[in-house]
Amino acid sequence: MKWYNISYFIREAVSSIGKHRVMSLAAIGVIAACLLIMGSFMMVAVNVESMLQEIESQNEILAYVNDTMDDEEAAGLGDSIRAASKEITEVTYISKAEALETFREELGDDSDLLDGLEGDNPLRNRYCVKIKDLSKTQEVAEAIESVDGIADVSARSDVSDKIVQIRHLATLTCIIIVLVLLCVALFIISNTVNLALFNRREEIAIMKMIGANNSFVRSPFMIEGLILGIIGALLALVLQWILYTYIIKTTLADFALFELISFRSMFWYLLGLFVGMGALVGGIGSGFTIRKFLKV
Amino acid sequence: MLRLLDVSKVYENGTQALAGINLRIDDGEFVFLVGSSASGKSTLLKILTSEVEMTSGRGMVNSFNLNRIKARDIPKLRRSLGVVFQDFRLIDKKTIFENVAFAMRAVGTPPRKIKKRVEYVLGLVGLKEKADHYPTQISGGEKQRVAIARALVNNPSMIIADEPTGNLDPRMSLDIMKLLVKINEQAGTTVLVVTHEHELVDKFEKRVVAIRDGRIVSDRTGGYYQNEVV
Repeated sequence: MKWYNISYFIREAVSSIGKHRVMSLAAIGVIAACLLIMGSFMMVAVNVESMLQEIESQNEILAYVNDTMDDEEAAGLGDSIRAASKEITEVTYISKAEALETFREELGDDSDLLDGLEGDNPLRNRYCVKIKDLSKTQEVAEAIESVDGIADVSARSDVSDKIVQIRHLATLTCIIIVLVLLCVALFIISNTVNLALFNRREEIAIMKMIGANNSFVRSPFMIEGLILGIIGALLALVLQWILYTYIIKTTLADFALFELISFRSMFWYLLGLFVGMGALVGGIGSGFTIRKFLKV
Repeated sequence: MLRLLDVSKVYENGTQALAGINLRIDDGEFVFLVGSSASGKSTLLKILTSEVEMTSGRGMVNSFNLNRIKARDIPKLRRSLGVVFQDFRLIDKKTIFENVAFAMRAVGTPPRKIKKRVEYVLGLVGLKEKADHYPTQISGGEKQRVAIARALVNNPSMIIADEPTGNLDPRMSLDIMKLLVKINEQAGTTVLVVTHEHELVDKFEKRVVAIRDGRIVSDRTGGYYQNEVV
């Protein structure tokens, strides 16, 4: 393909958008609306995911060191615990003195209950262990228990199982809704393109009768779809920002246990996703729909 | 050049449009194809431009074998033919210049050559001054001249005009026909004109092929339409 052909296609696409203003606006609107619905759902899903992550990160396994070991020996167990399982991401040693201090803080005003225990601390030296995959909690706990010098392991595998369940459900729901929305978007867009092309079928037929090959006829239409898709995506991004900042965020804030994700942190991700989807749906959509009009 | 041997066409609904057509048109000829509506004229043209496939028989247009042409070669076949339609078929949203130029772009001609050639061809049909107008701003006769310019622009070896004067008043019709004759005589382009206008055909002493019920009923060089049994 020669450069003057490409420049002709682009000029042709741009001028065609200007000449078919109503149809172009309709296409931009449809693409923007579909992306906006998809984007809104995604923003909610991302927030749910981030909350689950937050909860997950607070779920930990505690490994108590055998009291027969002195503090120094206990502090040296870190490496053997870490070696117990590949799932382990973080191993923190907490001495009995530190544990007592934390306990005190948690009791707050009632901390005087613990007075006098410093000399004969009943708590044990311990390790706080974090793991990658919560569904492996039970397995990792057993592995740590078999490490020499570990007396006992406490893991809330019931809590971690719940989180894993919620996450699976959330992921599944997210995938299903995005797929459904994608199908709806493709359907609406292909209908819009169909309508636009139907109005211009005569033009396409003339091109074909003159001896234009399919790619010559198709290219300006695809570029036109691509441009409309990208404009629709940018419009959706702006609307998404407004919608998220002023509606979704304020609504979610009432239920949220944690801080909500900022739009800014999602900006590039959304930009890429919207523009990618818009261009894909616009370009491929029109290229695909035009096929039946090319059979002349 | 055009050759049809025993060409028949039966549409899917059972209508027999053509029955055993034999036709030979040599390079540089000017031929009128006459016949009433539903005589099979349109089907014949559609076979030539490969819009429909013949049911049986053999055919050749320029250097293309109609029986074995591949889908991707159809655009090339159409480029070797310049087609002019009764309803002009111009693109209303493009200027006269663009309507003609885009037939050249479709072939991949560099823009520099396009400008020169389009101006020349528009001059030939007498519309150089209206290059910037849109089809909606000019008369029917002018529209048909634009369509002829578009058909001519890629230097086709044959021009096929399908009822080119069907939508025009008699005076304009005569002008258009004279233009086609001029193109035939000056450029040596083969011209095939489909029409049912007796009086117009009678004004020119050209070969007339008459078709009725899908058969060629008369083919006489220099013959007059009024003498035929059509």
